[in-house]
Amino acid sequence: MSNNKYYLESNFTKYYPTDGYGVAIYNTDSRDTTFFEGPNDKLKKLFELEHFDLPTFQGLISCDLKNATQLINKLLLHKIVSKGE
Amino acid sequence: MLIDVGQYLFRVDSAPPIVKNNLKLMYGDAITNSSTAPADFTISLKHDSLLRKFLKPQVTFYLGSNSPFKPLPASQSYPVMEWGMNWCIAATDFNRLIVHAAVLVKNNKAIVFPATPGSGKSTLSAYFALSGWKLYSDEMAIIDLDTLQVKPLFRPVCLKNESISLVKQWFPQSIFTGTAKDTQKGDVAHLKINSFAEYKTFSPVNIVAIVFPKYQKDAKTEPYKINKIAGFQKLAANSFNYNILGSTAFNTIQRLVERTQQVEINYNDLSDVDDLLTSEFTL
Repeated sequence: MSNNKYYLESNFTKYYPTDGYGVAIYNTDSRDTTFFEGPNDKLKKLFELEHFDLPTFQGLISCDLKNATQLINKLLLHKIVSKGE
Repeated sequence: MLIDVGQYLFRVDSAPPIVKNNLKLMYGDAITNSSTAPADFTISLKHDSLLRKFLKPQVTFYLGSNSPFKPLPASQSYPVMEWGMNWCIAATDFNRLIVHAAVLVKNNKAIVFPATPGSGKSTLSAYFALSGWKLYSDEMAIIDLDTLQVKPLFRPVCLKNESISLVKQWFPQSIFTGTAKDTQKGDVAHLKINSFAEYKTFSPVNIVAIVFPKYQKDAKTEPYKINKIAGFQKLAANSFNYNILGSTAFNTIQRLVERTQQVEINYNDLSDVDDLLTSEFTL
């Protein structure tokens, strides 16, 4: 499995609703908005990490590998900080 | 002919007589014949050629010299004019958040009903507006980016298909245009709600709830609170200018969903929805 690591750059604005569920992330460069479901304390923890890998991402947002990869691609394109096999 | 729809001023340069008559019926005192006042939009509805005036007649809507739509049958002239006016606002106003939604106000509190499929938005607008609520819009919520207040528009309600006969049956005294048959939305007729004098008493108000109604034939009228992220997502999807406003829209919707409640309501009886909203939001 790839051990690529990812991080969220500062060109993302995040909204964690006060009802504790989900997050909306706005990319100020691409002007895309991405929505995540799930308890937002977990999501907050994820996006506060300095780096995270795919299994951590997948675990914290509770989605399958395919969806996790798609979300990573949408959100974090070109944000790979280290690569390895 | 100049039409004051509240937030915008339309100058109608030319239109077939049937359209002018319907405009007079729907907008009444909001129409003036001043030739000097600066308009936000100069619009017209024209036959593109002499041939198309007589042979399978068609009309084209123009904003200035640009026509955003393909020509449509002349029998649909009035709906084309109204849809063109909607387009002018939705495509060019980037100073407010504009959401495809109905807005109804009671006791100085606004409820926004986004136009999700199956919502029965226009039927609901007509029923509520003719049952004591103030209609701020049947088609678009005009939301101030700073105050988050919703502003009123002076426009008729666009009813489709079975809703036309239903509303005529519920409110036999109501004022309708003729029905345009077989448009892209089915049969369409417009309904006048307020006089311009009544409209002039409306002022911007705070939004207390975003309600997503869903008509279901055998449903018991029940509200379901939805989470804020789902409310955000639906509002963004129904906003005409979300992509243009970018981060401003993101921040505006964020503040709006934090300040309001988001509720889904399955219903089959509009009077139950009226009672429910009135008690839920102490209207």
